[in-house]
Amino acid sequence: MSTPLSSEEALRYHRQMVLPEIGEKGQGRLKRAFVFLAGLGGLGSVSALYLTAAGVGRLRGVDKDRVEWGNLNRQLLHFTEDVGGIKAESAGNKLRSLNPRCRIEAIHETLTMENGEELVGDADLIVDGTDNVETRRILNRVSLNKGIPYVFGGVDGLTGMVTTFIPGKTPCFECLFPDDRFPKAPPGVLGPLPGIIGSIQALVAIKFLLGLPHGLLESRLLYVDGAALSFRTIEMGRNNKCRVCGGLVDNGETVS
Amino acid sequence: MKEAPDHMEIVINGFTEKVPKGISIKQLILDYDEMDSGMIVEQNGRFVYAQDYDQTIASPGDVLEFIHPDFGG
Repeated sequence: MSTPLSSEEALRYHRQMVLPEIGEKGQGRLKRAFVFLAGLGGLGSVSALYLTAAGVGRLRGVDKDRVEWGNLNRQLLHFTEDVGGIKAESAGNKLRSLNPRCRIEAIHETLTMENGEELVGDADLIVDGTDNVETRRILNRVSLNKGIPYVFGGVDGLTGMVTTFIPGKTPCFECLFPDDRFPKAPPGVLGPLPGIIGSIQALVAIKFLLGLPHGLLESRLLYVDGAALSFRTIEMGRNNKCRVCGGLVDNGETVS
Repeated sequence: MKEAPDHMEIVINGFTEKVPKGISIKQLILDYDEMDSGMIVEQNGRFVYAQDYDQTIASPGDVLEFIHPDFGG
């Protein structure tokens, strides 16, 4: 059941609704969509802005942090006057101001293995704006257990990566990254890198929500090298030895 | 210079290297001291899973990339 768009919405989304891939029908699909966004920092700021601006109906963003001075070189949802404040509040205010038509649920919370499934709820898609392996493993388990696609993104220095994990169809996060020995220190990062990666995540998310079948980075890892300014994709086959998904799990089994 | 019959040329991170024929990805990672870095491996445009490093063999002309994963946000 679709709700007709208001005249304001028709104006607001005009430049994307004229695209044959979207139209009024596609815009309606975006309006009915629910996206879960983990992290409202460098990646999450940018993907949240684009998803909200595009008219995704419901966006639930979770972040446990407060805004720090060191965030401001790349975390575009947070301004100088927000330093010291709760990141979820800062993000929520900006996103609601950008598009009051979107239902923005900005939650100040730590994502854990215990609360992950409840926080993600019945989202159509998980978008990754986190900054560590541990939280990504939680997102991966929730994605696999609930059958919700998960758009991974990460940055470090002048490089970044994006891929889409679709349970039962593509490798999962731990297929690619089974190692526990990752550096803990926060990486250096130049603002445009999370801008590029977060934008690509938003593009993948919007295309997925529209039901467009191609170019979703399924079984392909996009690697962006900002030093060489090159983009390339790495093809990924199945990983039948994955300790988490076993290469393919679409039999209703859960993983823990 | 004549290439040693027991060696072959491959490209690692953009540099041409002479390595023993039949060498595994795992041995290359050990030789390049990358075992503890958690990096990922691309061989001729395809992702090589960590569980397959020991039985994946490099061939002459292979293009390999050792890539540090990006986990910042």
